[in-house]
Amino acid sequence: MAPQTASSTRTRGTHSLATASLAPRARSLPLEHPSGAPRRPLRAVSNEELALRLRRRRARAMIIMSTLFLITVVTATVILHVFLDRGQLRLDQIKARVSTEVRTTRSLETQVANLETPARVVQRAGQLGMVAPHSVTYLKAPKGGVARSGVGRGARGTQAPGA
Amino acid sequence: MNSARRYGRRRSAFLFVLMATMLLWLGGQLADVQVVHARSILAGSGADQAVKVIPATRGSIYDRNFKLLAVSVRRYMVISDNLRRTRLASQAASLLSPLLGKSPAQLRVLLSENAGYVVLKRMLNRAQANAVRSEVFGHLNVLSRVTVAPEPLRVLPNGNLAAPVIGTVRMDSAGSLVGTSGLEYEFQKLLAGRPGKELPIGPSGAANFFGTPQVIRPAVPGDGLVLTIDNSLQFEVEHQLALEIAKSGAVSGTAAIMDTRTGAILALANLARSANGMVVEAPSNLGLTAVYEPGSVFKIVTFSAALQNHIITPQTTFTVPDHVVIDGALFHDAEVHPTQQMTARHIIAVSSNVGTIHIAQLVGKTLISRYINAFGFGKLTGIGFPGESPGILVPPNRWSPTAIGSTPIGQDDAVTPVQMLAAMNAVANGGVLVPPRLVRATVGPKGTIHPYPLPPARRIISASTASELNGMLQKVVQYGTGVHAVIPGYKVAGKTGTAQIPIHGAHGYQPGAFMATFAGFAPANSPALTAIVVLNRPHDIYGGAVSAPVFSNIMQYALHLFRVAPSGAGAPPPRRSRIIQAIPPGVATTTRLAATVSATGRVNSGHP
Repeated sequence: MAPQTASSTRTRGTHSLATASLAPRARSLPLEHPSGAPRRPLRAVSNEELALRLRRRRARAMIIMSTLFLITVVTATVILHVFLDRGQLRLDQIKARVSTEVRTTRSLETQVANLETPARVVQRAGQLGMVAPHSVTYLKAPKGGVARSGVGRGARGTQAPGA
Repeated sequence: MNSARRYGRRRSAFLFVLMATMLLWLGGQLADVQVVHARSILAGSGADQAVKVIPATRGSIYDRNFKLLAVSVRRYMVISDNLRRTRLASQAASLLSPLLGKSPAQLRVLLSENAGYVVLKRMLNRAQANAVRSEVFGHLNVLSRVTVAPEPLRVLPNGNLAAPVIGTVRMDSAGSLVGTSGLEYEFQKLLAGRPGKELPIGPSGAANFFGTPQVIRPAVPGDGLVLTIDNSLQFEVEHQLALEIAKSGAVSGTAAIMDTRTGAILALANLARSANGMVVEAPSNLGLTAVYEPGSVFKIVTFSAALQNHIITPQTTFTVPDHVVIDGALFHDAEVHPTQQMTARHIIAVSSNVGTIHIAQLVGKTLISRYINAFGFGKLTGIGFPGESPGILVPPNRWSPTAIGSTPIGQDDAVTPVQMLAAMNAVANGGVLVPPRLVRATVGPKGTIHPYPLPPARRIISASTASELNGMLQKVVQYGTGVHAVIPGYKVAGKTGTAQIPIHGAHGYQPGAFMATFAGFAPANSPALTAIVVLNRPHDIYGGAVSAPVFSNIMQYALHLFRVAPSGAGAPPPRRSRIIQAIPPGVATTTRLAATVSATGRVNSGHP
């Protein structure tokens, strides 16, 4: 499997895998680095070593990705908790307010009930000088129904019969 | 460089392995807590942490128009844990004295008691409680042992109005209200709700992230109870009854008004004279828990049996002397009169005992007994009231030789006033007995109204029999013993009753002690309301003289309140202005005003 991998990598044009093409390049390199620092000693790299490097690079990438993932997860969890706690705080505040409002409503309902009691109505009416009727008189409607008044008809612009 | 790289890689790998191990460990711990040892941890959690009960708010009781009759409100009490600090009692007493309205000396005594729970003051309102809390926080070094705790209070906005019906409550050890009598007791489960649970804040408590108590299970408030009682009618009925008790010198009295069609009790007044002579609410619901021999009002059963079985018609004529002897026992009419011809209609109108006994002898004890049972006597009404009495009936096989004389005139069997009312209501309702009821609906915590199921009605006499009896009972009010029950503008039917009171635990009757009753309905041509008034030991013993005027007053008010149309022509003029006469000076104006103002100012649901 390894040679196939190397071969497939070569075909993608990576710069370090074709040993055949390395020799001319090495010759064209200057002996010293432009900055004056000594050059790294050049040597031929075997396919096995390249494969090993590749595996290590992948492992490193994996570690970095895992770490990043872990950090992301932890950060996300922290953010989620912050939101949850803020929501809980708000919920607690609303609950406390509801509780207070319910108590206030109940208190006001009780006050209204106290004000509406027949005993109080009687007392207040007496204070206002209201008096009770001595008897009740019932009005009896005529058998033919109630006649419309002339004012009403006139207002609608109609004429009384025979007018 | 290679070694440095290698070292870096190793370090990364080590960190990865470390983190993975930690994650695995955390996962393992989670699984251990949540799965492996979940049950044991849950069981042990309650053992070392005191779970505090959150009392549920008790449901309110309303009248038929949703006006509050009983409501629970939160009050506060100030408690001191004297075992924590006792050295600064004097200072604490001085600080709390102006807030609690107690002298420093009194508080000093309380604060010096060697107890961990001393109540310094109860029933503080919210403002007072907050003032105490502020004082405690301001002087923690002195008042750290003082705490303010909530406690429930049952408030009756109308005072003692209908108190024997509503009932009473007490506070249990958990701080919840528990019904001890009346409807509060009967509907305890419904009204109480479900208490919640929370972990209190404290060293052993499990306060949540924000320092508030951790609620394990929230409290569910109790359901509300909507009664059939009408607030203003109840007030008027109690007022009129109180006036008559005071005027007639009665020991106690009961009055009730019922919706003819539905059996809903619109008012149920129970009053008694206290030791100092004041008329106050009776200690119990006499209308349902007390029995009495009803007297002549019971004759409707005898006449129903006779009419239903075609033994008599209203026009059937009898020769009636003023007395008759049965097995050595003398039965006589209320008034001395020569032997005369009387129709059945006239016999009931003037409440002739002798005439009724003649009819009863024709009917026979078996049939009479069957009709007594059919009218619901001897059984619970089904109203659902604690301590309701079924009455006391003598079975026909145990009737004494004189029972054919005493039972048909209401002097053997004992009934409750509400049973008697239901029986009269059956006549008004065309022969259909509607069980009385006190509860109209229940209200869920979120305001959902659930109508209370109507008890099943049953026909006990035919509509024609009921109609005939209705006509005969109208004569009672027109010219018979119940003329004081007349209501201007309305046709009224009813029956008076004046019964002797038996000696408790012995044979015979108390001399000079009578129960005066009037039961009737209006408008007689289209009955809408049925009422009963019972007075215990009035000076003027006759039901027609003391109970009928009260019936007239309360029925008149009720008819106007529920906007029942007058009967039309034929109604006699008022015989006297009882309303004004019955009310003492200074009370008359305001009392009648209550009726007028509430009748015009309230929103009625129309016909009861």
